[in-house]
This record gives sequence, C-alpha cells and structure tokens, in this order.
Amino acid sequence: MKKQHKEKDTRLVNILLIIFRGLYFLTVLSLAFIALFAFLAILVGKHPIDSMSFNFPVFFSMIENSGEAIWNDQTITPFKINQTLGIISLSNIPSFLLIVYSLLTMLAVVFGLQAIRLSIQILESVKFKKFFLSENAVRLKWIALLNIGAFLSTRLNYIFTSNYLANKIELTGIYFENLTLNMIFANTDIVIFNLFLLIIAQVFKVGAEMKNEQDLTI
Amino acid sequence: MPIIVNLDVMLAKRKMSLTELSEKVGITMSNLSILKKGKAKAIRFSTLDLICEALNCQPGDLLEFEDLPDSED
Repeated sequence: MKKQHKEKDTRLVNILLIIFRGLYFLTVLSLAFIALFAFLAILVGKHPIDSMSFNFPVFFSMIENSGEAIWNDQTITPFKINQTLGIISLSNIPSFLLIVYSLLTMLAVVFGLQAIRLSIQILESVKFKKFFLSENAVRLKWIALLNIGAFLSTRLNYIFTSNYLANKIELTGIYFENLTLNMIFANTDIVIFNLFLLIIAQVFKVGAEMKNEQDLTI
Repeated sequence: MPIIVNLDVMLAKRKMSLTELSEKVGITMSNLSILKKGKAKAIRFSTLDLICEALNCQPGDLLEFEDLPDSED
C-alpha cells in the first residue's frame, strides 16, 4: 500500500514536471516572438507587419445612459457603462507604442519564466526525495517575488497603454480615459496570494533549518 | 563551535576503527563521521552512552570545551 502511494506521488510529480517544462518552452517561444517584433520595430522604425493587429487594454466609460435595468416591480432605470477595462485590436501601430508595450510585456514574461524555472527545480528536488532544503525556501520566496513583479509589470503596461491611447482613439458614445488608481489596485488576489507564499517560504526556511539541526543531531 | 569531539583520539587509544565502532553501537558510519569531524549540532545522551560503553571511556574523554575569544558566556 505504501509502495502504491509512493508510486502515485512520483507519477504526480512527473506529470507536474511535464506540464511545467511545457509551460517553460511555450513561454520561451512567446518571449522570442515578442523580442523579435520589438527588435524589428526598432530597426525598421515602424511596425514590421502593417496588417498584423495587436490587442491593447483601454479604459473607458460611456458618455450617455445607454441601457435599461428592469426590476421585479417593472420599474425601469437607465444605466451607463462606467470605468471599464476593455481590449481593442489595433494595426499599423506606431513603433514607440509597440516597443514600450513589448518591453513591459517581456519583463512580465521573463519574471514568469524565472518563476517557472524555480518551480521545476523544486519539483526535481521532490523527485529526488530532497525537498526540505533551505534552497527550496529561497526558491519559494523568489517565486512569490517574481509573481508580484510580473503582476506589477502587467499593471504598468495597462497604465501606459490605456493612458497613451486615451486621447488618440475615438468611438462615438464612448469616452476613453486614463486608468484610475482604484482600477490599478483592483483584482490584487495574485499579490495577496504571493504575499501568503512569502510567509510560507519563511516558515519553510525555519523548518529546513530545524531539519538540518535534527539531521546533525547524532 | 567551542565543544570539541575527541572521537578520533579515543578510537586511536582503543585501537578501534570507525567501522568497528559503528557496528558495535549501531550508529551509521555517516553519523559517526559527522561526529568525528565536529560537524554535529547535538548528541543524544543515549548515543553518548553507547559510544562510552563501546570505547570504555567517560563522556569527558570524548567531549572537550575550548574557550574561544569570541564565544558568549
């Protein structure tokens, strides 16, 4: 029974290793593409492929009430879409926008790549039954910090892109605006989760030190 | 660490090898090696008991305190 459990654990670790390695490979590919486009944009001075469109985040509100809310008592109240984050698709992008967007995206991707690499190292240590090490505590800490870094890079990208495009795009009935502070700090679940992971990393470090002491107790 | 383990001295006095001691007391070679090299953080009384019995010595023969200039009181 114990042997079966151990085999299941190893199988799970192997599956996770395959997933993370695949993720790492795909992330490296996407990083290579982004870097290539950014480099070509710098070289050529404009978007290398005019017809190719990119998705950019924008922050907008509707100018007038455009919808109706019908309540249970049949009363009708108007509503309008307000302070919404959306995505637009643009082609013939100026190289400045493409370069900054690409650099910030690449920064987030590099952080993510490092976090995946550290996760693979932790899984490999589990596979070789050497999990409770202070090195893994350091890796957990760095995974948390890198995830927070990736989150901040992505938010910075949103701020830059939406604020850059705010006064350059027009659509009837829609008012494009700069990203407000409350939107920047919305959906910070990832940050809270990774702060929690930092606590886990610290606890893990203390545990690894205690195990080390125990191992060196004859 | 100010505590010095004189296991190699006692082994030489009793003309015993580490392997023989390991077999006598039932402690692994790697653990005894950690003890001998002074890398151990702690020793259990039960372990000390077994080693002293095997080497026919006192705990004081095995353990020595060296008052280093930067050690805390």
